[in-house]
Amino acid sequence: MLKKIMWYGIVVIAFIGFITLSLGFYQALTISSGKAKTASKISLPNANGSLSASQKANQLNITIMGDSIARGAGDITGKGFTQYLPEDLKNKTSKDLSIEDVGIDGYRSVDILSQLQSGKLDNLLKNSDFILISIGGNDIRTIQSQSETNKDQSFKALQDKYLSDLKASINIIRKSSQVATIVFLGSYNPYLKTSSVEDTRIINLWNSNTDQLIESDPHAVFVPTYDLIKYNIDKYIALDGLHPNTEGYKAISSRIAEAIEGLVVSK
Amino acid sequence: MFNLVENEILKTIFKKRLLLILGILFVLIALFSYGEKYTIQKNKDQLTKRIGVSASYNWSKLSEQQIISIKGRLDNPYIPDSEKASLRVQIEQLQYDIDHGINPVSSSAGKFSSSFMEQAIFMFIPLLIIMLAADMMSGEASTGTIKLLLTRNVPRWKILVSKFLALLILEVIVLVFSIILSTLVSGLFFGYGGWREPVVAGFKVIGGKLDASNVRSVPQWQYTLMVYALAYFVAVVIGSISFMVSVLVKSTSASIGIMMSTLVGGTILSFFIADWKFTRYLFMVNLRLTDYLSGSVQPVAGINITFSVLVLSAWAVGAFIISFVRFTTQDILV
Repeated sequence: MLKKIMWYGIVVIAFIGFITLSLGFYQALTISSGKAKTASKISLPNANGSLSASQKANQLNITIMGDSIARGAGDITGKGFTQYLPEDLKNKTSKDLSIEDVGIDGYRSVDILSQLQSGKLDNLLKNSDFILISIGGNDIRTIQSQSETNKDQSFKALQDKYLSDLKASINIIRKSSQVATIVFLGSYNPYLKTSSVEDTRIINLWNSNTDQLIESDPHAVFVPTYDLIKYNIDKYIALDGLHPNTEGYKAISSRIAEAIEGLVVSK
Repeated sequence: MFNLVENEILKTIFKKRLLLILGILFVLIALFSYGEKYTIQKNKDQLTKRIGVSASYNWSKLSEQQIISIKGRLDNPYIPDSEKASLRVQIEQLQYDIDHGINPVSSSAGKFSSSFMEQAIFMFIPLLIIMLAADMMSGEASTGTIKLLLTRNVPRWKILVSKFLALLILEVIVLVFSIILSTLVSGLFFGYGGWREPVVAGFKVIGGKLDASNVRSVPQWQYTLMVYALAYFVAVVIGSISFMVSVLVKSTSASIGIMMSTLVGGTILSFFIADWKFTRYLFMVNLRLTDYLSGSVQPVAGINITFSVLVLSAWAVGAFIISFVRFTTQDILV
């Protein structure tokens, strides 16, 4: 009797189970196979593409490119530098300010290189007076989580790649615009509270090598952020523990504004 | 014929083999849940430490900020279209979490049961199925009971088919119990909710690239169902192959050994899958079907879920035919 009950129980479970699992299998197959919609071509706004000469004379064009910090992640309004940089600069020049932000979250050095290689930014760059770049944070973050033993080796490889990408990117920018001032934001360490001596050494080395590369260009300036953030993590870093918050963006903006003040007045 | 199937299944139950398998499942799920709970706690601690808030971090504020930032990304005209679909799903997920008071870092029975099976599908579930299937025939041969079986007035093919049917049923039982056990056990740790949370699905591998342009959200229960269904499919394939080995080999331990070493060897071979074309036709490297769902697949040109399913089906059908022919024609000398 027990055997019979057990057998019928099993048959019922198996039957229902089989039907449900088959349905699930069918769904799983349909959801992850088949043809994808062909993505529609991205229509880029042809910003600043056709400015007349007189307009250009009266306008100060700033292009912001790079990673999430360039894009404004962590800022409560999500606007980042596009909002705070004009506030800091407007007293220093009579010209109109025009800012275009092409930063994309998660970008690494190789991504801005391919972004530049695509040629979509050429027009924008040609008319820019200042090009603010923030890149490298996502590159260096990939090794911060690695174990100490192979950190040194992978750091060297990573840094070489990063520096060569950056160098190539600057070369492309220079093809569009020889005189625009490149403002490069240094990296800071948001994980200071949990990071080791080695991490600190790595990020300093990274910054100083980037600095050297940037300064080898005649119209470029390296603006450090490491020192600004170091003792102000609670004040300047957003809740995500990684990006600057509104205060952080304001602080970095005013530092950038100070760095390029002389140029803004004369341009 | 149904008598034979019934007999076969009850035999497996009374030989305590099924009980053993369910026991192993239970222990592993319990360990897994505990481990996950521990990891989540550690992550939370680290986050708290990093942000510097002594009490606890305010996740809902954090999520809201993430939503603002993702919306900002969506508005960015320079972002590729293919990324937009996943960004929309991310917003939906975060919004759901905020609306329902769910900390995104935490787990739930729903999340756990699918992530457990995603880990188990390519090694653990196949091992359990091998334990079930590998002695189906060789067990009869090594104990000599095959003589009694064949002297009964039943054609050989009926014996084989009913054993195979019994195996299919037992595989359903294993999968059904693994979802029940993982829900029950992990619920103790994480609570029994989370079945309606949105999950990302709909990744496609096209031309060797992961395509996320059709990504959408499905509720967790549906996602879990799909994961377990794929696992059942894998179980059927592995079951058929072990069944074939157990027909071909007379000793149970040899048949278990063959299957296990093939399985383990296959994971090593999967490293070569991109370069060495032959490896992609092996069943062992195509077992991670759930990776196609979650989008965590390493895209290789020419391999997608349809390909993997076809390869696995071919193996299962082939294995069944071989066992059928071999068993109905061989001389049984015991």
